[in-house]
Amino acid sequence: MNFFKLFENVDPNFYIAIIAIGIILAVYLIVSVLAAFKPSKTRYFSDKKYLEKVVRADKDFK
Amino acid sequence: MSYNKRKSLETIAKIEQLTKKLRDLSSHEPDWVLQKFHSTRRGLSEKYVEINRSRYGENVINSDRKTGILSKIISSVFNGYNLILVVLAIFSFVTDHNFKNAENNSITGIIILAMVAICSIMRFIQSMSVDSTKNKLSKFIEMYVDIERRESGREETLPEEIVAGDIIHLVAGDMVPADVRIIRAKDFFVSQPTIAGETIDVEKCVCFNPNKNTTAAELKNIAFMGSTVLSGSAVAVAVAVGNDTIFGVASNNNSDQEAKEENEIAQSATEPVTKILLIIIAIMMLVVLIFNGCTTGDWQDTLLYIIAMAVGLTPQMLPLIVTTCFSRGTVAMSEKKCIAKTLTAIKNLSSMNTLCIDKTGTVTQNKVALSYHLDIHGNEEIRVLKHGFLNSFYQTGLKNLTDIEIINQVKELENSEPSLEGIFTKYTKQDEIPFDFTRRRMSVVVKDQEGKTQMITKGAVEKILEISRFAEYEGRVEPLTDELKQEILSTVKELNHKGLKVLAVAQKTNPSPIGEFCVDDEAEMVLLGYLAFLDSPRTSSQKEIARLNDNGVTVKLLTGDSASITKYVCRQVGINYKTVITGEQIENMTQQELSKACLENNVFANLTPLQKAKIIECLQENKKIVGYLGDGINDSEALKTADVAVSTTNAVDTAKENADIILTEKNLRVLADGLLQARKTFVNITKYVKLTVSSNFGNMLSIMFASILLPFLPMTSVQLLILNLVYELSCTAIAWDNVDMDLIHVPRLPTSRILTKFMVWIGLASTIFDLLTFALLYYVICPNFAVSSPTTFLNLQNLFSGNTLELMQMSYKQMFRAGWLVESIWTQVVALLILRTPKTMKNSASVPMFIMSLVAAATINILVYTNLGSVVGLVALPIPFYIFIIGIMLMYTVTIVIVKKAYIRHYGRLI
Repeated sequence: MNFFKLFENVDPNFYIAIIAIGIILAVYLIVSVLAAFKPSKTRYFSDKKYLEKVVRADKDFK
Repeated sequence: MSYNKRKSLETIAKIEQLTKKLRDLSSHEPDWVLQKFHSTRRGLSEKYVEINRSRYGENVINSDRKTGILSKIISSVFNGYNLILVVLAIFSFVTDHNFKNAENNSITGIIILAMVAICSIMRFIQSMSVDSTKNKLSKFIEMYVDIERRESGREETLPEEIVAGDIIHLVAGDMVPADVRIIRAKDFFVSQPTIAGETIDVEKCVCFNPNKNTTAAELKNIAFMGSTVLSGSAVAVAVAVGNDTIFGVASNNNSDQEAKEENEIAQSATEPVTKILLIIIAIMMLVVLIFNGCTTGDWQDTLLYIIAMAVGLTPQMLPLIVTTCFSRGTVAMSEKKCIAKTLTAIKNLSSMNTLCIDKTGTVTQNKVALSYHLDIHGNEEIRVLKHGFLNSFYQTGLKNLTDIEIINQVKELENSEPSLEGIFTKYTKQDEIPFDFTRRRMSVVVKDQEGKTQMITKGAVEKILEISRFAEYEGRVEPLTDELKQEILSTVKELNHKGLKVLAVAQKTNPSPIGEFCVDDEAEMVLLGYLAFLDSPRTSSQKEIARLNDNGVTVKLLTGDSASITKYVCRQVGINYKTVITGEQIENMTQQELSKACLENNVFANLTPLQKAKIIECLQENKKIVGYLGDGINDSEALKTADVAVSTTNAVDTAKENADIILTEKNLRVLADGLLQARKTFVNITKYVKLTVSSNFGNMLSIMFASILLPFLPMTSVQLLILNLVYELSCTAIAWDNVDMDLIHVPRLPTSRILTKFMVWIGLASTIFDLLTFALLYYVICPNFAVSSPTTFLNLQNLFSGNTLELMQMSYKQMFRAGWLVESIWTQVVALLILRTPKTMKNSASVPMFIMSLVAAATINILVYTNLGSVVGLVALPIPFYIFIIGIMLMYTVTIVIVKKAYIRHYGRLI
């Protein structure tokens, strides 16, 4: 079966949906990659700093 | 009246009844009490052991909580999750019979019930496995009691063997194994648990109690089960055992504690996201109800669906999987000689970042050798050893390593040294004044065959000097002058610098106390000399401490020994220290100074037990999660205070009782191995929680969007439940998964804030690819393969009518749902395998983990081609669909890898 034949009678809304999803995916990836260059304030410390600044996470820990 | 309230009132009534009985026993003479239980001061006869066992019961606390297999089955079947599923099944049966819905049939209800059965069996198997692990491990932490019986004499036995009327010998460090009436005591102090669960330190004695209004805690001559002996010694008769003790009754009231603990652990692992998940589920339910209800008009079906959706999207197997991980962790730790007494202990150990240790056995070899027995001028003198022996041999308290070494030395020399000849039989003990950490000395009074009585005191040099007025040298007694004291102290200092621990020995002849001997009699003593011991430094400890440091744990040495010995040992094993902080210095410090000293220094010497606990508290106030490794009576306070109390199988009862972790070998290497294993367990739990929560969040968003965008629901309730069940079952293998070393070389902390962010970051990727799948299924696959004319669902009504339309619509929906079900399990499996490690290339999932993931994916893929699949509303998928799925999965994999890397760079770590 011709694979591309599947798209012959496809509803035009399909392409709108694909473009919309493509844009969402692109935005998602771009935001993720940009975030990678801006470490979070709640970021876990690098190992050395982590050891120095480790905190008791919750009061009911014990 | 609620069950709990009624139970509490019943408990209070029982305790009052027991108190009345104990008060009665307390108001009679010891001999009357012994007679009541047919016992004597030499114990019970064999005959009465059996009679009393059948009359008063065994010394075992049978909690009200049913512990048999039947109760396990009951608790596995009757729980909230199953209840909701059963309600859904009933609802499904009713709707299927009342409404001729072509999509549903009673099989749906049967499948839901089958799921109830699968979950129940899983829970049952797991709870049996946890119990079996606990039972195996409990053998390592058994305690023994010193009892006396008429025929067999004194022997060490398990507490369960005790019967009412048994004579029990108690010394410092012991746990009181039953409710007992004291018949002989010497400075006997116990830490007594109150009904509220706190403990108070009280002295117990033989004294007679005529007062009929005293409370149980005020009964001076009764010691209660669960109390720990702080100092002194006593002989007592058991008057209540097992469930008839106050401890037993109180324990039964708290019988749900164990079950609660397991739930609490699971709760603590999920609590941060539970609220968020509930809010999201509530919003989603509302959106789906409104949109789907409006578009389909079938409110009843929609209501059923959103209930199933809420159940299906909640990680209900979470407590089970978390407990499985902990249970697996417990077994793995025990293989490394590290036994976790509770599941919480594993969590705490994995978070520990500061470890306080005592010196003996950790940085030393725990093998004390007597190097010298010297007179006051530093010459070898056998009399010092002889008197030291009499003190060590006849004291009935806990014999420590130095006592044992003295006795062993004398045993060796007995035949070759004339003055030691017959020493084991020549003397009879008259009295003793037990050791305590304030006096730091102990005394015994012995009488020889000629009738001469001697009081012999042994202990810390400075404490013996305080009570000595004279000194003996070459048979002459001379006044102990200040010059002589200085000379002695400088000799001791010299010995300390060589790493030798020094104890002084003093005596006085024919002491004349009024009544019994007491601390005040330790005066006007004649100093004989001192005994010097060497506990050789353990050379491997530097490497072991460095290993702990590399794994994010700061090690601090807290010892009761002198600063000189401590410095020597530190130098020998290579522990770096700026200065050694002593107990005296700590006493004079302000809170601020102490806080600074605790953080900046690693070696503390000459500490009292309370000072050790104070240092730990101070570190805790400075946000440290502190572990303490100790095995002596003097470590009890520190163990109680520490976040992670670590002890050994050879420790005193009280240390074992207070410990969270028990090492079968006192060694820092063993603890480090256990610590890494605990962190592995914690990483696997975090991994599971994060992945499941993010996966479920992604599915929730997808369903929400589908209910807005599609004219039908993307999955039926039963399909959603099947997807959730298969995925969660595959997750049980996480407990056996490999963990990257990078993830465990720093302390693990609960990840509340970061968990929510992980859920959103990763969940979104899954939703985007779900939407892509929806588009392909709705516009490409279903029009080409599900219906006879290539058109979308909404256009079907323009081309078909009546039954044909209904059949076409159903076929369309079935293929769509089968497609999303298959895509969902693949995205979940791919996410599981990629996100289980921060690494990209070296992804070394364990074999069980890998197999279970593939089995989960295969199960769903095969299901759509089976009769069972058609029963739950699925149809076979065409081959082109899989071409799309491969493409989607490749894109999803690339996306997830990119997002994973970005996430790690943004937040610092993945898991």
